[in-house]
Amino acid sequence: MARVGAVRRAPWPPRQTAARGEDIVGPMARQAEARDESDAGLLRAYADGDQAAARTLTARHAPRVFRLARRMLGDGTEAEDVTQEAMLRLWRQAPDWQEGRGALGTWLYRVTANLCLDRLRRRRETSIDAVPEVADVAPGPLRRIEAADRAAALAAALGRLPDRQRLAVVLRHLEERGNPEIAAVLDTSVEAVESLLARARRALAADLGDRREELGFRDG
Amino acid sequence: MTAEDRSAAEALAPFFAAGRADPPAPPVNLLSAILADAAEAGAARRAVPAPRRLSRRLPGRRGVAPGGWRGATALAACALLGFWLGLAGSFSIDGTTLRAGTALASSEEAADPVAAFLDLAAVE
Repeated sequence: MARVGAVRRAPWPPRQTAARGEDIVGPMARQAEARDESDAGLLRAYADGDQAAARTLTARHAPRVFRLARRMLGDGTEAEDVTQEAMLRLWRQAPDWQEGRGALGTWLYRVTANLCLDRLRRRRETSIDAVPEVADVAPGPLRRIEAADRAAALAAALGRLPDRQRLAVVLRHLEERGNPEIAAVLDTSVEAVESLLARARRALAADLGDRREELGFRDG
Repeated sequence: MTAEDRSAAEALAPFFAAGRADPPAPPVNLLSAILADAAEAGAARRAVPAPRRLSRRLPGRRGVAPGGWRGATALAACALLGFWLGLAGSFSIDGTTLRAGTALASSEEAADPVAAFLDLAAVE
């Protein structure tokens, strides 16, 4: 696998001035939309040697995979490694992919989620001191960038949730996936997902509740 | 959804909106690496040699039985001999009579058990 190598770590939350892959993903995404083909069809084409199909699949799925990994791990470099590994598994799976096995997006979410959970587990096993903390942001004195501060506060609070609760919240409220798909990713029931989400929201609300005023909420 | 859940969801809504507003995007070099992996995986798959045909592993040219023409001739001759032996019932080579499944000495072939018994009785 061609390693990404020494990649400049992207800030989290991303600054407005930071170089964004969006500049590249944008044209690729437009190309993906232009090639209106099912994922299964594109995988078949890729397995038959069509490299353009790989570009379309990358444009469709790599940003979603990266977003999930970034939000789960809170670390840009690790998220890149996970994204590359998940996509590599897709390339290897392509010749054997069967159309009836489910949505490719869900399969990729599941692979990504498992890779992230493995990494989070290893972090804890290695050393609690080695866990990179998601930076908790101090609100700017002039509160000029309240939205960025709120996103950063949310990311920090997500980092304090148990892994599966964090995964459920990211998929439901940031990736905006439905509970049945989240249940498929987590390999559990819809009821269990609802329970996970309820507990996670209560914990997040308690965590962020004290910060509401300093984060620009003026409703008391 | 309980009142507590509803309250938590409402309190978190602006945080989630802020989190969705500026999603992290993959850097350019990651996308390049992913596409390089795709090309490499495809090339590796195509480079795996297809299973060889059985006939190529066999000695001799394609379409010729093992052993070449000599082996094929010997096999055919043996088959013909067996077929003929089956039809004829028995035949003799150098005093040895071959029957289907047995070989008898020429002396055994000539022996008549009844005559032999009478001969022995006469001697006594």
